[in-house]
Amino acid sequence: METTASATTIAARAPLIAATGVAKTYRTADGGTIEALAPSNLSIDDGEFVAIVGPTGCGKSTLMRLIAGLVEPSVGRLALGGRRIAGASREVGVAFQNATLLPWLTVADNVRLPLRVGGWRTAGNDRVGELLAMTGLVGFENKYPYELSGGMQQRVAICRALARDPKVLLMDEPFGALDALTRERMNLELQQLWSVSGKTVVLITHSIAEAVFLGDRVVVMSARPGRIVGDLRIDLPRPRSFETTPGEPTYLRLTREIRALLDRGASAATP
Amino acid sequence: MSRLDAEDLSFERSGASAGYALGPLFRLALTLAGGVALVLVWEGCVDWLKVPPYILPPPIAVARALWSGLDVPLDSPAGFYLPIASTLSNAISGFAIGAVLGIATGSIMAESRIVEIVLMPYAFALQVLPKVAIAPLVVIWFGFGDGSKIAMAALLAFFPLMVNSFTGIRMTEPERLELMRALSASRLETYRVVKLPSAAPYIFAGLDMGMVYALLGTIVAEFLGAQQGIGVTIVQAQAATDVASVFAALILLGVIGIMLHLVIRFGERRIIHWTVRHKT
Repeated sequence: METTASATTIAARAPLIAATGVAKTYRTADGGTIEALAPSNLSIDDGEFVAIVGPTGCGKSTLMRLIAGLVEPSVGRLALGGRRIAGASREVGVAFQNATLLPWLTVADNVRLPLRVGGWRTAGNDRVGELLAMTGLVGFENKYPYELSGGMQQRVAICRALARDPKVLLMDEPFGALDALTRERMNLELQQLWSVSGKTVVLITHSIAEAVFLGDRVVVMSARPGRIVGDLRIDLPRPRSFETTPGEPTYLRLTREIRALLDRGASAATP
Repeated sequence: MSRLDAEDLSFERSGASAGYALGPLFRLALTLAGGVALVLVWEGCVDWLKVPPYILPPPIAVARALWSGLDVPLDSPAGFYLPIASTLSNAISGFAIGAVLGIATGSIMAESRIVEIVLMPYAFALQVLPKVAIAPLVVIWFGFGDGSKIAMAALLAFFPLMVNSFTGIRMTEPERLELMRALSASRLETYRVVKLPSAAPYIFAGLDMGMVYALLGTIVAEFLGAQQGIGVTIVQAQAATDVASVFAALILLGVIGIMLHLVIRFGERRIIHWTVRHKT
């Protein structure tokens, strides 16, 4: 089992994202502390597709917020491209849960938002057009989010995350609210987008199937305290498809392994 | 002050819906029938109960008073047009001043903990105070001219806008704020791009209420003394026990109030289309 691969890859070559002994503890209102993430090591290479899977409360959102620079680690070192992560970075684009589009802006203006704020002052019409074309949203530029389906809203959110052409696309359960069929289609589109763009993708999900289908690696996390309990390489040929991939023995074996890791994590947390 | 307290303070428009599914035409007919019934009961009271006209004039006398005030040249001193123009312009000027100051104060309070801690208790205390009680003071400060009318209108419009913009900004979805942080947006950008639009539905509810209050403030100031205005028309008619003209002026005020409300609702539909769509 390749569960401890992370420690060795750090030495082999400089990863794009490197977390060394990173932990996050939150203070509660009554003066206590909650360990959202126990000391963890994780390294992600440039261009890799890493899926992080785990139950609610396993610290995967905390890990995402750490990488996005939205919270600081309590201990440990967290680096992006060899530099310590301090605050939000232009090299990380975030696609939030439930799309989080601004309902008063059109599709084009939502995608343009990152190019208008935070020290950016570009019209970015070419960039917006390019992104909308890539995600099949041409013709919807002047629509408002409430006029779009859930899947299309999520596409707009992905476009917005990519607007500044970041190295890393960070996605926090982007397809959780979609129906099963739309979700599968979005998975295929994301795979396509990733292979064309060459971005590093970190996808947070609680679907084992989605994680195995999309990831080069699946990082398995467990709750109370949130920690990494497994890191598996997914050696499935690409492009993967819903006709063939889920039937492959490797797919089934990895899915079972991840489920076992999650079950073990759950039983360890509740003695 | 906590979010809960802020919610208690807010003037939210209650989502009124009466559960019945009636056709729009039938509903309109029902409303009109109610109005006709009211006039008939009114006429009946005057005719059968022999209510004297200085208590309750018959509907026809009120209609005649209304018509005599409207069927004159625009600049006739006997007509309703000059008082309407005076009251309306003072109420709208005061409303504009009060709304801008209210939104600005509410925004600063929502953005700064320190300002909130310093101002909130006093804002709350003033909120509870019946503000028309300040009118005599306002007349002393601003005189019997337009100044005191505009000041009263501004004062009354200020509070609902301050409280509603404060509440609306504080209610901004945390996800939207996190998005702006992930984009390294400045505080001003976050306010302008996310917080103010997020608060817009609250602000419009405040504008709706503030407009009514501004009209109220102007009329109260006019009661205390003015050269012209609908308040003056009412007081003069009352002095002459011309009750029919008092009624006519009140009907005019009602119509003006409804029209101002409709203007704000129209603006609301145009500007915050995204929430209006969601309601349906």
